[in-house]
Amino acid sequence: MSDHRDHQFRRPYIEWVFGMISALLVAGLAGFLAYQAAFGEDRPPDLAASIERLERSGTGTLVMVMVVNHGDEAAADVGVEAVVASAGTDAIRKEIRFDYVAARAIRRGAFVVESPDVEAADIALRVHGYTEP
Amino acid sequence: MTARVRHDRHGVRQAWRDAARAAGGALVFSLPMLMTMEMWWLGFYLDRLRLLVLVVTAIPLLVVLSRHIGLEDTRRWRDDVLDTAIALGVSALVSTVLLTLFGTMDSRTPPDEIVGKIAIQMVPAAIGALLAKSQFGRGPADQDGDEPDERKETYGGELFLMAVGALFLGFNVAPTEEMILISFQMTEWHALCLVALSLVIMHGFVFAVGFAGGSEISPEEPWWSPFLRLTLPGYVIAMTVSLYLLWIFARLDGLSADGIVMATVVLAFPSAIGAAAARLIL
Repeated sequence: MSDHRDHQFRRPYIEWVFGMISALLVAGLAGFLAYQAAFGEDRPPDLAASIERLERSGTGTLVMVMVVNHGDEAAADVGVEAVVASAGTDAIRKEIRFDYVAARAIRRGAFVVESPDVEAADIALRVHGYTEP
Repeated sequence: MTARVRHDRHGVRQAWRDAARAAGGALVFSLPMLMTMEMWWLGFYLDRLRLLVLVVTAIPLLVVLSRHIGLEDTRRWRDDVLDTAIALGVSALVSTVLLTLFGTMDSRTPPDEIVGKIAIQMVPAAIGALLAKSQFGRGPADQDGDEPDERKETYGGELFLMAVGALFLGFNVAPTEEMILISFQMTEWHALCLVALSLVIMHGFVFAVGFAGGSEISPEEPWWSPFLRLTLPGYVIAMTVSLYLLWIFARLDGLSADGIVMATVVLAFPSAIGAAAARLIL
């Protein structure tokens, strides 16, 4: 028994310090996950698309958009449609798809609109739908 | 004079053999990544700052790795730096040849894209090139029957090898989309169980492999002693390596804090096994 104790005490001090710090970090991780699992909400994907900014390019206008998922579950294959309605012309429909939008995450994309004089007010964004990942 | 010429010839032959062994190691380690489409795409869309961080952090890691298990039994740091340079050069060559053969780049590919594609493949391949010695047996001295002395590994050395082992497996899967997809499919309960399973498997390896050297496990030692000293720090290293790889490969962009934790726990599973089995793999 005393040999056994001696063996343990021969371990360098630093090994126990590293061990204790690691134990605290892993306990923190487990605690965080357990808290989220027990008390976290379980809302389905809640997606909203908005225009971030417009960039004029050589071929027209880049409409930079972002999709925010306010829900607690990830959404896959998220379809976003933009309807561009400039005065005197027919409305133009464009669609882009996002592979995934994680829970409480933001994904960005862009529509390419051929017209150079499009304003944010002319564009209506709509989220079509999603599938489960 | 004749003896000198013979000596020179032997040196040249040895250098070629080392280079070929490095190329073999680079191939074994990086082939899954060279044939992964996400890695080709990362080559052109990855933020150049992250690519720079990958290369800059890899160089000291490779030098220290060369110190542990290099192309030859090096004694001086200068030799380790030289071995690292050779490993990187051989890896760049292997990556260039294979990516060209796979048709992922040709003479019309922009130079920026070529540099990105090779740089991202070069780092894991260079780890493989340096590991060539343990992957493909021993050098000529060992073939004569002289068994090398078992290196007495320090505690820091053990943890370093764990980090390399975590990189070894982590690099293979970190760039794939499946890492985040798995985290999306999981609940926090799943993640909690995965953390527990990672620790159990890690501890199994730690015990089975025995971690020869300065931090060996003695039969009289209670289970919690190596668990505290090796398994838990090993898991923290696996988590850190996983977080680093996911950030480098831009897999965390736009994710919330708990999304980042979940994705890291997923990648930490293979990384933890790589860390614990480092002694077997490396």
